[in-house]
Amino acid sequence: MGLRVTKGKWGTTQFVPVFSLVLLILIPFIVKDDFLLHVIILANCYVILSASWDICSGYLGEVNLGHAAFFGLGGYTAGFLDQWFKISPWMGLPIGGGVACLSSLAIGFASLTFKRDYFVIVTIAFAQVLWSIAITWAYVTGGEEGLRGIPNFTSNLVGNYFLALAFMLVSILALYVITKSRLGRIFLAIHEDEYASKAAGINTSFYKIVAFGISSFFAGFIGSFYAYYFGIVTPDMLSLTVTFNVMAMTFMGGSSTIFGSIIGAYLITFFAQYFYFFMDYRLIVQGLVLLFTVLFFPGGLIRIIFRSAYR
Amino acid sequence: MLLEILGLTKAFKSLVAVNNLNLNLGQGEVLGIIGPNGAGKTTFIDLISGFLIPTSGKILLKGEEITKLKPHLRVKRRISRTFQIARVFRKLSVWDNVAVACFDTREYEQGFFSTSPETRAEEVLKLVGLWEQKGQKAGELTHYALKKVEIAKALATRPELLLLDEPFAGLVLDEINNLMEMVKKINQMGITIMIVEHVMRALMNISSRVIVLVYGEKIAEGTPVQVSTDEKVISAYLGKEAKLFARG
Amino acid sequence: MEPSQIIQQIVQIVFSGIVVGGLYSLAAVGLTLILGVMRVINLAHGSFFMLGAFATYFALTQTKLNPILCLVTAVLVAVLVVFIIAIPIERLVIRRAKTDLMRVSVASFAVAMVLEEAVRIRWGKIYRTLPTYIPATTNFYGVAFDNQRLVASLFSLLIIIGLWLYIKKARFGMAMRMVQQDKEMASLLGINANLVNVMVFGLAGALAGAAASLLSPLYMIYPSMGWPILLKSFAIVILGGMGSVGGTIFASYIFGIVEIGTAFFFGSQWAYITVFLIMIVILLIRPKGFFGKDIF
Repeated sequence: MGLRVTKGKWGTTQFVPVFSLVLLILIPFIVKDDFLLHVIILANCYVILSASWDICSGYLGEVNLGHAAFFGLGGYTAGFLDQWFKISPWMGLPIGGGVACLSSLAIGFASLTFKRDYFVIVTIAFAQVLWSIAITWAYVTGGEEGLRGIPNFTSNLVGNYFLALAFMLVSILALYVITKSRLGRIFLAIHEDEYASKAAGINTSFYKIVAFGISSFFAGFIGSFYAYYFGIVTPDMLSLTVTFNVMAMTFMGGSSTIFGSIIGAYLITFFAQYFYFFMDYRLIVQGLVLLFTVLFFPGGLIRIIFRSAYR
Repeated sequence: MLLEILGLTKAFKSLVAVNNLNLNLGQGEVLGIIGPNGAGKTTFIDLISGFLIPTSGKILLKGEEITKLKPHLRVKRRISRTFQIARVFRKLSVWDNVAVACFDTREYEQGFFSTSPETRAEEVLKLVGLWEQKGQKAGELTHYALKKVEIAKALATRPELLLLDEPFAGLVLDEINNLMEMVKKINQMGITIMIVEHVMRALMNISSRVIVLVYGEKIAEGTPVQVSTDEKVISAYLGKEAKLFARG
Repeated sequence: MEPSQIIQQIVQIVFSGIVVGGLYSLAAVGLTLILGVMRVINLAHGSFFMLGAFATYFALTQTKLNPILCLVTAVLVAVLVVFIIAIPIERLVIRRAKTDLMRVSVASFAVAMVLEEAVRIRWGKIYRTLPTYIPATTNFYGVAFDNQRLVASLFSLLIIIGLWLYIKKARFGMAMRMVQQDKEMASLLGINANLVNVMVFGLAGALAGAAASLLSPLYMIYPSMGWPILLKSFAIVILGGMGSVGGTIFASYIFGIVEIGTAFFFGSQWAYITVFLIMIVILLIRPKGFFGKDIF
């Protein structure tokens, strides 16, 4: 599974990513469109969210429907760090990731040892709990309004643009390397046949928790970035809508492939941002399209476009 | 004494699958387990490998009690098993299938096991004769090749005790002979083997000792010849074939 | 407070808990059946509940019948609406997506979102309430009980008992149990597993609808009301033990009392947190639940 890169061959599979990358790097200099840059930053954030969701839910097979919780934890951590400790954004990023990761370890410990269905529900419940706490415990979390005035990395939009791009590339690379490594193959094995994995000496509970932890770290990390970039954190970061978006992006792009998330994230982010007059109907359209994809094209777009590289 | 089984019982509500089984297994033995279908043989393997926890009784490995230990921890203590229907990772390559079993190597990389996973995977694949096909996706293999992958996976963790669950099922004559040689070779490497099987010729040929399970109880124990001439066994089980082959 | 007041308060809490628990039991049992017989996770279960609530709302606000008849109509309407919607969903979506967890989770989640959004777009996000359609209270040893709640809990009890008997005695009930225990064996015996699945799904939806129509007068009605119900139903299923109908029923009442009690002592924001904590605690100390079977 995953991209089979054949040495020396230059087909669509190699050309498209390289071309897109070059394009992304050049855009700020070619086009003077702040909105476009903003949308791309957003898309890159969602790429990381989707790819990290994929590694646990798609690759490993433990479907996590509370991904928003870790995204929000990262965001709120950033907010708290700023409000109470005045810690610089650069420190805030890994701390946000760390907080999300540690929470996931706690949740995972309680719920990953059992039937996969339990994990699905516990993660939704976790996200909903955090969401309701964020709304009602206004004294700490700022309630519906959230936390404001969070500092930026830089006030320069282009600076933020390249920062986001860099994070996206590094994250995708990291996640891809993981899937190709021993760890990745253990995840695949566990996904396919848990009993056989146990018989092969694999401590399945441990590795499931590892996958969940990795997934949540990235979510928290980019959640912190999101907070620093926008300057505010609201309970929306913890809502089901976020999880729904991530799910749609990963699945429509192509689950169990890290690169599918890129396609899905860019597609849906651009659609959502540019077709804002559609906004009231966006979720229902997204739901229907997602249903259509689940039923008829469960492999996602990447397996259709790059058919040669994927099964 | 490698394995001691004391009063092992497994009951599923009202069905007793294994009933008060007592057994000792010495190092280097090849123990054959036969019995009519549904006699509790696979349950027995599940109990020893940790996939089921007994209702009562004890399992001792070299004196250490492992009755309730999780499967992957038993693998670490050098017990491996194969499944009746080969549970192979079909989406992974043959090499990956074996390598995945070698990856958790903290214990393995000291002393006796100081070979890297890659080396071990290569050795095992060559032993079972699948080295040429190492890049092939496991899902595309023939029936016998799948069985070999299954065995290779079990061998990858350097077991001292190997539990084989009906490895000869569905094989043709050539393959049966081939597999018999392989099992003998594995035993000669010093690995103790416990094998559940219906293909009498193979089992009687390679076992040093045989036990017969009927309704979860041991009704006979002895050398292949002894067991195949035992009245109880013949009456409980279609043993004519066994009798014939054990003499040869 | 005086002792008699404390007792009154406790009785009220227990009573409310039983009422709510009884209604939750309808929703939770539906979920248990889906999990046990179909072995799928249905994330749209909450949406079915929501649809039932909305159906009830419109049925009640458009008609002017006497209270008991109202209640019966509401329940029937809710049940019918959800049943009719659930069947095609099972046939088209669930059946195809059943193959793996990711697919069925995404599919049922998407269904839930689509239903919620459809309702929101058509009727808005506002919180609606139903007027109490059975007025007055009955006095029982000095404690006042709302007639509305009394009737609701009686009704839910009737439905549960009816369901229980049906599962144990009726042919279809036995078919369901057979499919739950051993699907292959059941089809070898001539049972059409697909039909059983569709019916179970529809039944679960209908139960959710009935629960909604009895419960919604007590709370508010809004498009995303399904999610809390989904999570609570699951918490109850975990508590009672997956696959066990009796266990689920028992657990619902316990859950109801705990929920009302926590809301009383700590405030209603703690509802979600209680649900979550119950789940986690049970998974940590007794994953099988009270009466559960296999969990691995």
